[in-house]
Amino acid sequence: MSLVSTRDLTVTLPPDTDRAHAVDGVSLEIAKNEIVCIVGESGSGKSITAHAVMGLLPRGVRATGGEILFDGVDLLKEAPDAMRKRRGRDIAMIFQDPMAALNPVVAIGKQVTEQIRAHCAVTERVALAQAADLLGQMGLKDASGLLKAYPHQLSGGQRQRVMIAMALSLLPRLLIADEPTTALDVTTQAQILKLIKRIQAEREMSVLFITHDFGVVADIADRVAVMRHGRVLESGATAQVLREPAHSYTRALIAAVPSGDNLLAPLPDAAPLMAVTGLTKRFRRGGFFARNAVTAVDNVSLTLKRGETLGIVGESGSGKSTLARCVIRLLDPEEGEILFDGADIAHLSPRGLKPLRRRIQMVFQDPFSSLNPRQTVADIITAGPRAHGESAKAALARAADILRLVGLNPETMHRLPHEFSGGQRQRIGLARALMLKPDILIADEPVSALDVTVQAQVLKLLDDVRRQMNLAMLFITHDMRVAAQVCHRVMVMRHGQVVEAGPTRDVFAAPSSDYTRALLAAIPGRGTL
Amino acid sequence: MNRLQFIAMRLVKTALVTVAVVVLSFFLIRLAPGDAATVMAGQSGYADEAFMKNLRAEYGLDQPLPVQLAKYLGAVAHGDLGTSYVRRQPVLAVILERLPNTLLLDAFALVVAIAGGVWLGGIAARKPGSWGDAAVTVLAMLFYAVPQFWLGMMAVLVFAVWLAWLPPFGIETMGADFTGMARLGDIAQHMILPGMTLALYFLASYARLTRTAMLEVADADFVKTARAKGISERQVARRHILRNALIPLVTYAGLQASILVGGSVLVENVFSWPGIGTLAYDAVTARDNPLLLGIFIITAILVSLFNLLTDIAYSIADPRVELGR
Repeated sequence: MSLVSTRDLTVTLPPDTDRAHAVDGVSLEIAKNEIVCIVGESGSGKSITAHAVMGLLPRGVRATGGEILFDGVDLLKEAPDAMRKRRGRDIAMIFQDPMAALNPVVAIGKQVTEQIRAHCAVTERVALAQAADLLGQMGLKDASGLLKAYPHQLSGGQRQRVMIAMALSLLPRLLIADEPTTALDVTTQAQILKLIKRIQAEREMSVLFITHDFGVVADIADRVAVMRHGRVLESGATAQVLREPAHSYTRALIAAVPSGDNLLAPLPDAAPLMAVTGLTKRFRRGGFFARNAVTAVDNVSLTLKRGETLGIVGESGSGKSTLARCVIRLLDPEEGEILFDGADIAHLSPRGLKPLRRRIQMVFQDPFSSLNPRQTVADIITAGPRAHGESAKAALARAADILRLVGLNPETMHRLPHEFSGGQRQRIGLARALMLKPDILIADEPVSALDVTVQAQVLKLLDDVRRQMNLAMLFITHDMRVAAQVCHRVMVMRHGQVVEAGPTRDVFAAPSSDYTRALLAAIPGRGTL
Repeated sequence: MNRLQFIAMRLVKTALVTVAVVVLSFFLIRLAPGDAATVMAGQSGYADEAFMKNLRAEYGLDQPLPVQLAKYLGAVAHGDLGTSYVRRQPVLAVILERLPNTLLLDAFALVVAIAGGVWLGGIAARKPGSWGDAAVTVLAMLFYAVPQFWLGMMAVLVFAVWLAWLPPFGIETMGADFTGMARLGDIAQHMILPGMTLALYFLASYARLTRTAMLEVADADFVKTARAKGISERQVARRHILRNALIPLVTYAGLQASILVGGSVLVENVFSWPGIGTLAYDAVTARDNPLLLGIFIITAILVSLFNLLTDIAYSIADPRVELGR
């Protein structure tokens, strides 16, 4: 029998939004002791469905039709107070970003005990002992120390374990996990997925797991429902949906998960356009008297040829972004040299750098914050050329061509960034960089904020542009799958050092370091997809 | 850098700021035409060239400015702020006699402003766009817009003259010679009108600030987590929303304390409150430069100390902030 079943659930959005319903007639079954995944892209209604079950829809958003039966009781008809008492006790939830989901100014212990004491009449001491025990079960060491710590003192993985501990503290029958691993590093993601699966099996709990990643679905789900535009397109046993997807959209989603086939072959030998040797960047911590420095980039060397994409892969804190910022001289490296077209630019003065700035351009991760919201696209993408002395008229004329090149309609160039979708904005970011006719393009996680299908399009675009303009590209990513798609060679970084480097094919087929092997093993859905 | 190093560093900075304030105001004051000698001569009703010259010699006003400054700085370094021309008393003693009155009034205004502002802001944030929210917004705009001296005079008119509920001026009832609790009660009564007048402007700021901060925090993920725990809305609001929304208020409270500590010249004068503000006013009109400079120095030191206290309070309110980081 199902623990949860929604029937024709409809969730209505406020009148001034672009569509009427966030969720439009969704029927789902979650049996006891099973993990059901809802998979979909942003705007599919997957998250709203989960929040409706929890009774925590955002302000102005209301469930207006259908029912949500929990153990036979319609949750939509429950009194607010009764629903509140279910939350945390019968149904618990964990969220995407474990940093934002924990109160930054309250100690961890207090946050866990608050959950326990909201439903059970126990003293703080008893609750704290229980909390310590729970943290231990989640595989966290030094539980009593953690209870006194604040969220910012924990790593992302630790925080998510705390969240899970909190959610499980009252043995709920349903755990709702809303993209719980999206904000985590791959290796951490693999651990958290394993943890959720283990806990679920031990406690015979039901789990509703929301994700955009079919790799994660393959790893964790018993059954899967594919959502798009507020409707369930297809649902069934995971193996079956993966093997024979009935709907074309499902096929597109599965195809968008990079497979690691047809990897790019390394380019033939040629003189490098850029050669970095022994680059080191330290950050002093603390103020004036600080003695301890953190070495963010430690003696890193690399070469880059024209027309080549070098992937720099690493988890957060590996120093990959710092390396990129040093190469483009947004940061000043302490040691090492950066030979660009034969000249060392590592210690060039700002004035000397100016003519070179044009030739090395960057595309940033977040397509939302990296474009000035009050400037039109035309202003944004012609600003660079104008700063380098091109006339506004000439720049505008070229802007139309470049926009066409990145797949945007030139007629839209007088609009503001907010009128574009995430994928389109990333294209604008790329157009801005290309306007300066760079020799080297540095792409810092250019697709990690995008939906999978959009990700695939932007990756293809980057690769096309590289071919057409014979660009050298430094591609920074935390995602081995993404690196596999566009890079000729990859360099794996950890703690500021290069762990392994070589042609993509070799690194994937026969990784030489344990860390690379761990990274590859952590790729969700590996082996299934 | 640890806590103690940070505090030590800040105390050094305080000293530097104080020296800068002394030097700047020393020259600034002398930019105005005339000097203490003209004022004293005017008061004595009799002045000829020789008398003025004697006066200037007596107070060292005939020496070149840099020499005067050097002498003054030397004296200040030894804790001697000079002698008031008008009162013929050591400047430090005069200021220290008045300072507690100003600090008392400030503390009262600070507490009223924060408590009232947070309360009103909380009401406004509960249902944005509601009648309560609109009422708080209008009230806040009103308190912002009304000049303090006018508000003070109206308060005197209504509560002291018409209703006769509260005393209109001073810090205690003259000639009553209360002692103990009776005296404290008397001072408290005198404090209400000037204190409220000072507080209302800041109260409006706190109300607006609290409202904005609470609405911002209300959308944070951890508030969703709190609701997912099944705790009551009241607890969500208090423990999670308000607790985080109060952090920016710490900065503002520090700012307010710094503004008030120089003595609110207008309000103290309207209510004849014997604090630093009235003292500064008297010093300016009487050209009592040593006294004025002394007030500047003490105020500068207090403002620096309040800033330090604010930073320390901030690091307590927000565990993510470490002193010296």
